[in-house]
Amino acid sequence: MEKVISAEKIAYSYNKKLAVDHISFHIDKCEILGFLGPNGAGKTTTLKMLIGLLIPQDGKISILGMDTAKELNKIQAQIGVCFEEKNLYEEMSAVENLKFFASLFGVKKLDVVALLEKVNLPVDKRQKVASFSKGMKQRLMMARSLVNQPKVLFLDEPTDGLDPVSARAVRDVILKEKEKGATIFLTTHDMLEADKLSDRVAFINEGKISVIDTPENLKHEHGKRILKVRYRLDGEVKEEELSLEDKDMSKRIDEINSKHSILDMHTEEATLEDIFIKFTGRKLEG
Amino acid sequence: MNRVLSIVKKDVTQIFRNRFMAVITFLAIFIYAIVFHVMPSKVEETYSMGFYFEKGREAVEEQISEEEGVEAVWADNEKELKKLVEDEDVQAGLSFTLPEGKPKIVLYTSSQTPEEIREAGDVIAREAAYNLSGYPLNVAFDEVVIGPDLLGKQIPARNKMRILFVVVLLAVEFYALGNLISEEIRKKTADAILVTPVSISEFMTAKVATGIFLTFFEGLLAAFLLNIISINTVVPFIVFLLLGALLVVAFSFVLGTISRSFLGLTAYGTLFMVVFMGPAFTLIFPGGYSFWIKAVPSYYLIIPLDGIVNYGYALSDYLSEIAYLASFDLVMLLLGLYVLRRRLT
Repeated sequence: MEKVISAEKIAYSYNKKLAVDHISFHIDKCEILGFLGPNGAGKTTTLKMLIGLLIPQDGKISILGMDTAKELNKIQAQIGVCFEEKNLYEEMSAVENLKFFASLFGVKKLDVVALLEKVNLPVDKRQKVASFSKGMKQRLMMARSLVNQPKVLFLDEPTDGLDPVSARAVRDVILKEKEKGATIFLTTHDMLEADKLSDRVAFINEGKISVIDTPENLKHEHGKRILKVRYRLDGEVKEEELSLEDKDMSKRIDEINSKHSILDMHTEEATLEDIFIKFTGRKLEG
Repeated sequence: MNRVLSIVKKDVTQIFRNRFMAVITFLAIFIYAIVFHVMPSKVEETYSMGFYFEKGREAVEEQISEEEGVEAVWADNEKELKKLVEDEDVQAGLSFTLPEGKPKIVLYTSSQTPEEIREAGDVIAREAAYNLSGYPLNVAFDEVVIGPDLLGKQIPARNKMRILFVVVLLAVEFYALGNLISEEIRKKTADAILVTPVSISEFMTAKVATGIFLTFFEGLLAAFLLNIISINTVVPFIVFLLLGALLVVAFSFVLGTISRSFLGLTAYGTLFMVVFMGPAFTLIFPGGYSFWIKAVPSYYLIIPLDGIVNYGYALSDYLSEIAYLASFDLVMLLLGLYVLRRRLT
């Protein structure tokens, strides 16, 4: 597999406090890496180093085979960034915003209508961004990150605080870009989103990566698969958890079934959040 | 280059989309123009004075009437003279009487009469007294004007004030450009630009270009509306306007970088504005300034502008001021670029 993004022992500190502590990872072509961590874990600092807003104080970053320390402008011509802050020009319309950023990339013929339709945003040439809802602004942010048809996308909390419809629109765009061949670095503290979108996830906490793997592998290797059985005992509803790995599980189900009336039973997998807590001792939301 | 132009175009659009900035900029220019054209275009150089002579009026009447700059109004009695002064028909009144055969001269002025008018009346009274006595002073008197002789062509207050207007306009641009830079940093739109192929140098070049473009053309528009531009003044005015625009850009870089909110921008901006405009007040209140005013960079912009526009001095008369101003511009711009680059990285 072609490594599109490669970070080797990168580090950054603010006022001598290490925000990112010599972490290494890579992202293959057409892969989405979910960078999971609570606020202040080092996600945004890592992102800023990758996109060239911060220079790593140690280590090396390579994107599309180019060193960010040497060929940043060439790299930046081929990446798209969707920030967590809605850093749009609010006095301008969506069309003006997109055209302005396209001009910075040297894109002469931008199909603004198609781009706005892609993110499910109505085209109104006069409406100022200041009057947009949060969801509309986020979709415009997403559209802006695509003006140069980037090979690599950096998305910082792209669905944070969005209503379900807007969040879904943004997720659809991310998956379509992946299908088209984009490599995506996604930071989030939403484990459900990471689970839905990511090929692999990395857990970052206090500037260090605890683990990187596919969500399935993490759940399989580190999660606890259980079967929950609810039955009625002396008029009261009881619930029992049985491990799917337990050899005596079938025997115990037969036993419950023979003595009591089973109401329902279903399997339950560990969530990414459970695994995150297991690795870091912290909750993602915190 | 295209990227720089794109940013300049966006910046200009953004500044004028901000209604507050657009309104105060253009409103200021047009209000200044209106004030300028409403104010008197000439200085009243005639000194109107009332005279009452109990005796000997014939001996001095012709001489006083021929006196340059004095408009004589003759009263038939002292009461009438007092009335002329009281009604402000004249600026002062001189009464020559002979109570008990001894000449007595009284100068009447109203409480509103300025000190210099009183002093002028006093001089005229003494001169008339010597003439009346038949013993004019045996002193040769000659008058030599150092610099341009403004007799009969005094600079009207409105002409002095138009330099102040231009400087205020430049100072307003602090806010516009400072606010633009501050917003780019605060709202992180600068980050969005800097993750495209635009380098920090291109970003800052665009801001310098925007600042000079806006300041220069607004200054030029104001100059046309305030009758500043003429064949003799156009080149020196443009030279100083460009140097002034660069100073504004440099100041606004610092202002925009250090301001973390609009309140901060207003507070720091007012401080900058007061310092920047300080030397302009020396034009309105000449002589009433301290030595430290020469340490303010805008002094070397305002004084030459006044000399060129109001007194007809040439660019070559202000070579040292150009050198000072260009040096200040360079130092301030380097400082501004340094603080902005630090903030962006």
